[in-house]
Amino acid sequence: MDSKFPDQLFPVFYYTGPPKKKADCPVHAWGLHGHVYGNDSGSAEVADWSFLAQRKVNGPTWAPVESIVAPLLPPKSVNKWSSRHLPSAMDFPKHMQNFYLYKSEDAFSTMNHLLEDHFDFGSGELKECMKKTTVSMKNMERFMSSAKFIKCPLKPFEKRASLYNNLLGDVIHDIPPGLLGELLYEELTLQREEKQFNEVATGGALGFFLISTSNTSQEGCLVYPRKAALNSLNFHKVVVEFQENIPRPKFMNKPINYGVNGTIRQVSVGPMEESVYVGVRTDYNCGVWVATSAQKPQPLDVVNTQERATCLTVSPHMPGELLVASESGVAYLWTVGRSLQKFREEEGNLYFNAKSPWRWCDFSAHPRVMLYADRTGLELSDIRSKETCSHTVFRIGATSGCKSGERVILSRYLCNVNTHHHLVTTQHSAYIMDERFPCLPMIKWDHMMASPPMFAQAVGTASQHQNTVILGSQSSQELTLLQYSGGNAVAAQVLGAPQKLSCPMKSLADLPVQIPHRQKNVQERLTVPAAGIASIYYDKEESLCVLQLSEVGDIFYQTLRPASQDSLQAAHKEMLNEDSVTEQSGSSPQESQESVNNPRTNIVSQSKCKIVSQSDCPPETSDARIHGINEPCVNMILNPLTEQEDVSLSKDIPRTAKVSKATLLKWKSWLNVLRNGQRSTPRYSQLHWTLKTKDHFTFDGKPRDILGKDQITSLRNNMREVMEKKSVLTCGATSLSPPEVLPTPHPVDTQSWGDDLSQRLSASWEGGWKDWWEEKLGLNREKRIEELRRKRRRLKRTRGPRVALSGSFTTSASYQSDLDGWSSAVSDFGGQDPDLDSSTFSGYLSTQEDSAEPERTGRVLQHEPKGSKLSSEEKSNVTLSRNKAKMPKDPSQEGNPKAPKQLKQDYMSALFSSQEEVVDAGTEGTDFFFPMSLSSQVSSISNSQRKPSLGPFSQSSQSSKQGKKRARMGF
Amino acid sequence: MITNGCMLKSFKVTEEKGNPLPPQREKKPKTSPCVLRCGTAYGNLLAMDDISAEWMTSPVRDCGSDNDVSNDDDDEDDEEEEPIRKRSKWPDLPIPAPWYGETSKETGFHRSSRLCLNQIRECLLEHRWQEAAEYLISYFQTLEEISTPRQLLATEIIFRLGSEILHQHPNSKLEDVNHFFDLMKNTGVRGYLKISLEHSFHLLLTGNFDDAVRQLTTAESWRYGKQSAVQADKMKLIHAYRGFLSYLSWISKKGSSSEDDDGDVSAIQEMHTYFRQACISLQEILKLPGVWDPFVVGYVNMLEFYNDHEGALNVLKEYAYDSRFPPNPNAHVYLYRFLKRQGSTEKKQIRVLKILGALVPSHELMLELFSLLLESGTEQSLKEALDVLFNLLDDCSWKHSVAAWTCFRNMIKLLRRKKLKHLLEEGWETRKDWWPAFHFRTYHARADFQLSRQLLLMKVVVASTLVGNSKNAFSACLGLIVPANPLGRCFPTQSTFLLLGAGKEQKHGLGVLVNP
Repeated sequence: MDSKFPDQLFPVFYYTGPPKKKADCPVHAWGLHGHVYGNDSGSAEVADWSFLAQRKVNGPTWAPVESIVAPLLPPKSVNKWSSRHLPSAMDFPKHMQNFYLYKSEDAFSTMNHLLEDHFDFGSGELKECMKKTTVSMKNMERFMSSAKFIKCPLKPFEKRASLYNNLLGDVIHDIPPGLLGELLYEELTLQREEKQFNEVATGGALGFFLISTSNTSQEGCLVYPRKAALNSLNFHKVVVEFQENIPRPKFMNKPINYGVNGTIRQVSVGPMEESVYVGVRTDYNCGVWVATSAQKPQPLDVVNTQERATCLTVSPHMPGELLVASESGVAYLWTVGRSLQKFREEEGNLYFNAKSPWRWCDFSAHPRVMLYADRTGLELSDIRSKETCSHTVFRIGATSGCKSGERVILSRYLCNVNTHHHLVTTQHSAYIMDERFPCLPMIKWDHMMASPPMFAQAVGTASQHQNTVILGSQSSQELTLLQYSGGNAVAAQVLGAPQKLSCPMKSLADLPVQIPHRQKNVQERLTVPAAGIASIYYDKEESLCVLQLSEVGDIFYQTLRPASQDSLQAAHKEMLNEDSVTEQSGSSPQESQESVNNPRTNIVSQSKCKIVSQSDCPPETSDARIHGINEPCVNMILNPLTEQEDVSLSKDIPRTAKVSKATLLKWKSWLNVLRNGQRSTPRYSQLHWTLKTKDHFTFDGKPRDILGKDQITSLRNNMREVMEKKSVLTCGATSLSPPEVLPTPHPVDTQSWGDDLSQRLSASWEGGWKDWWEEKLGLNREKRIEELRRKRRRLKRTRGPRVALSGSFTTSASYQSDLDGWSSAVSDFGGQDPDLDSSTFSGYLSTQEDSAEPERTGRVLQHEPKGSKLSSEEKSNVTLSRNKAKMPKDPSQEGNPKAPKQLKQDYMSALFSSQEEVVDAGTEGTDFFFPMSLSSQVSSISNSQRKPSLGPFSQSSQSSKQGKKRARMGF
Repeated sequence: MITNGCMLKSFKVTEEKGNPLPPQREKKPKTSPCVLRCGTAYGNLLAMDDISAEWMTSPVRDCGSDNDVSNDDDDEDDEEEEPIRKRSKWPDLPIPAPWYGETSKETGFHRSSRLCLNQIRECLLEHRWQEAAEYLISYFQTLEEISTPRQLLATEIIFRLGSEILHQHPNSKLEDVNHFFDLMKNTGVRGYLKISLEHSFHLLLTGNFDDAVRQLTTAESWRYGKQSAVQADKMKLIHAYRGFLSYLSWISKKGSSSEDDDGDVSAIQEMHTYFRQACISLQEILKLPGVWDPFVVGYVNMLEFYNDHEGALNVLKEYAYDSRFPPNPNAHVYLYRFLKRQGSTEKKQIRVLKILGALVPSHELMLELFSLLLESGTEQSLKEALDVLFNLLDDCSWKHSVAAWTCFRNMIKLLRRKKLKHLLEEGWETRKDWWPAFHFRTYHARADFQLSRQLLLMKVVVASTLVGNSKNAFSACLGLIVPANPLGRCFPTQSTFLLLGAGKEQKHGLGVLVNP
């Protein structure tokens, strides 16, 4: 059927010239139907016509059986694997420093020998004659010992070091630093380029050929490189078996391995006929093995190339024919055991100067017409004719709708899918070219991959309606699945949208979390670039197994099954059901639902945690950051926007992490082997200045944990439960005894501190620092005396005999204290100037008025309710007394000017201007405070006399103070 | 200790070398004849006689340079050249710029929209349509972008993503899609034509023919100031599709009017209107280089109906032979079929098919060419017919075709009859070194037998003739299949069982492969 050419092709403009488009819009893979034509079915009714779109939007899809990949082989312990950290070319000084510090023998050996006699290391006695020309190296040794440590600053020796540098800087190096730096810079740039895109791996070093198929299993042979340098070729029998309806590849027997001289870059496998040819390419060698289903693989032939080989392809038509291309631009037909036949040589690139020595060749539908490709395009050349007979199949240009800067990365002859189709991949797109109608692509996909696809697999499925192409990229490990149909009787049609398969890098997120440093180790191991892909298609039970090889030789696989429309609808229904259940019960029914639906597979669902864990997964690698895949802030930004949606998102079924127990077990053992196989040998033993603490601390060796094992496990369980609920672990939820309740500490009693400093600090804490000093220095003595007198007068006037009596006690008491020190009768004045009425004074001025207000804060709080209790007559009383109190204040200040004290006051006010403000605020507040305090005074007195049942606080305080008062009275 | 300052400066210059150069104007260099027959010079490669062991274990022996095997002295030169080669390799491949990466001058708005886009991309790539739809709702805010290019890009992105999600979302309805398309059409003028066209495609695919026609008619009359080149092309496509749909309406009218023989005049009038509409639009698009298979077929069909054979022939010739057009095999196929329908001379038909054969030697019409050539009967045409057959069977898609092998068998008979077997030898001469391995291996015999016994019979006859001619009959393989198969009963004489191995080569190279 492959001999047919489509009756009609989709309409398309034919442009010529260089590419015009710019790589701007990042979503070209989606949304468009392309073109449409109608199938003229001969029917008269328009409604009967079927229309065909260039891109059939709803194509059949493959669904991964599990959401993560699984390891196929136990990990080989590799001494070091390069992390995905891209070397920066500007790092060369660091590398030079390392070179000087750790390879000093190489860096300075010449000068070392010359100057050896002139340095004394204190090893022996110096001869007299030598003393003048010899430098002692005692200090130098100390300097050198400190220079070993990267963190150690060279500060103490800086001067000496620079002196040495001035003296010897020009001559001491074996390699001039300028030259070394330049070379290092170049090397680092090259390494960076190679890390981003290493073209030698094009084609991939993983191969598979089928041996036999039965109804329940399929036997094949996997060809893969192993060992640290990937220099051992392994042929390993693989059996794909159905376990619980899931196809799983399994290795049988032991592998047959051959040592190869060089890293294996590409493995190319021919079709399995009576025997199968396996071509292996290393940088400068190409070899071929032959295997049959019965016999073990045998090496057949080897060629060496002078330039680096870039391509090796085994013929799908003729046994024992291969194509070899190298960077010299020559392509050969290599017939095993016979000869090499040069069929094409190109000095430059085919269509324009792409400055690339990379060459590729492949077979075509005609066994004597070969495909020759470089970065600019593909050509078919007939190897029979003497003169070059070639015509273009594909070229970078406007014809195939290329973007500027686009280059051919890989081409592959899809013999098993359609004998005339070639797959061409570029950084942006993948094309299917029909060699019968060259130049215009039959199909164009935008594959949406971050790094260029270097590996490709094509699978023609049994039904032949649907061809699957899998593209794999190197540095970002991506796997993209594309599908198309047609190309024979009807025009080729794209089916569905590109689908991304999971890769090892992403799988880590779905695995159980480990200790951070191990996690980092595993993560580094899993982010190693890919080195090849292979696919195993099992047509009896339609399933597709995709294998991926990494640069350290790990092989991971994942299995895909066709997702039929029924199952999709079922999934959708299921989702709807789940929604309703969630709404009804509010609990998390997903797990139970899953387990009901898949009773056999024991699938663990983690859909709810998925979004979170995705954002948590390794953001360290720089490429991943470029991707923007693992941006940790996504949720932080999006969540506030769509809080309600978030709920519905978590309900959405599609992103479920389905991991079977078998896979988890596999991963567990894989991780164990990886951990055990690792030797922690840091490159330089002492990188930091270390301080030995062995003798300083003693450890009795008893376990610190006072909890028993049972308790710890139960605690862990509790913790897990609580974390699932996202709540807080409280003591009540655990089996632990409740902790002892500590009593709250007593309030600080500042009065008990008698010393000056404490008092001052207490005063200034409350803002009365200035007043305290004024008090201390006696600046306000006159004011006080005046105040006292006024008060006494007032009391005499306003109070009755009984009150007067108590008042007389107060005065006597205060008078006595006045005699003790100059500061007295402050308490009453406190109402006017709140700053003065600090607790400091109440300590030794325990007057009756004060007793009502033991603390300033308490007083402020209590004022208002008390104020509100005031009757109207009392209020009028208050206003009267306030006026009285205010009136005499001013003349007292103006009337008694005393020069030295005034000076002092000025000085103080200048000094404590900041405090002044507070005082001002306080004086302003007198309007408020004064009546309150007075009223409180009045009310407290009147209340205590008239209404004994007042608030508990005032009463108790009053009673306690009255006890004190009595004692004084006794005195 | 090291003074790096000046070095840093000088390196910055070299660093810029890494920028990818824009591809130069395409110019294909004239290729020199470079196909050499095997066995002369090995070039840079050298096959080593004794295989494997050496490569597996010992260090690599360097191979010869051109025409010179002793090249021990070249080693130093190679080492010197190495860094140069590396350096020249730097601007090799422009890695696509990570457009979705973080940029230095990024506002919070851009950042959030970029992250959102990444999320949508991830969802779409993993076929999580519902989740993508949720994210897209948030992504609409990018339409508030101030700068025009970015806004245009945002419109484009939203259109692409939105239509994809609507196509795939399980809950989407046709009304939603229509509504979305209508909204997007008027978000910026640039996309109007494209979205209209896409909309009409969608309507066609969902079976709303009349709505699609309406869409295209509206889009046709759309005018907006200056048009970009892309827009102009889109406009042409819209006209063309409009014409194509008119053609489809014409067909349906034709069908309905032919049913009732004496159709009323109005129906015929209507048909004429459709014809005129279609003609005008299709004529236009056929002038532009491109692949217009459905349009050409429709146009020619209409012209033929109205007996404008001259015009149809001109259209087809133009489509097939205009050098501005791509080498479309279908163009020749249409021309050939037209000529056949018109009953033109065989000579003309053969000429068309020969051109097609030069373009696609493996085209299925080559069998017709073969029979046409046979009919003419001259020696020259017989030779050509044989060539056609040989070329056909060179292609691996015809490997298992019973028809082709039967033709070959008949051809051999004919040549024998006409005593022209030297023609066969001429054709065989260039193929004798690879046809045995390509067609006549034991493996093929087995596979062919399973596929069809007829096929095997034909191939056996051909093989015995061809290989027998070159005096290299391989009857050794004879016993391989015969005892196990019932074939023996069909063929009493052993001479017909020539199941061939791989020819001479098998003795050393491929002999290993044959599974005893």
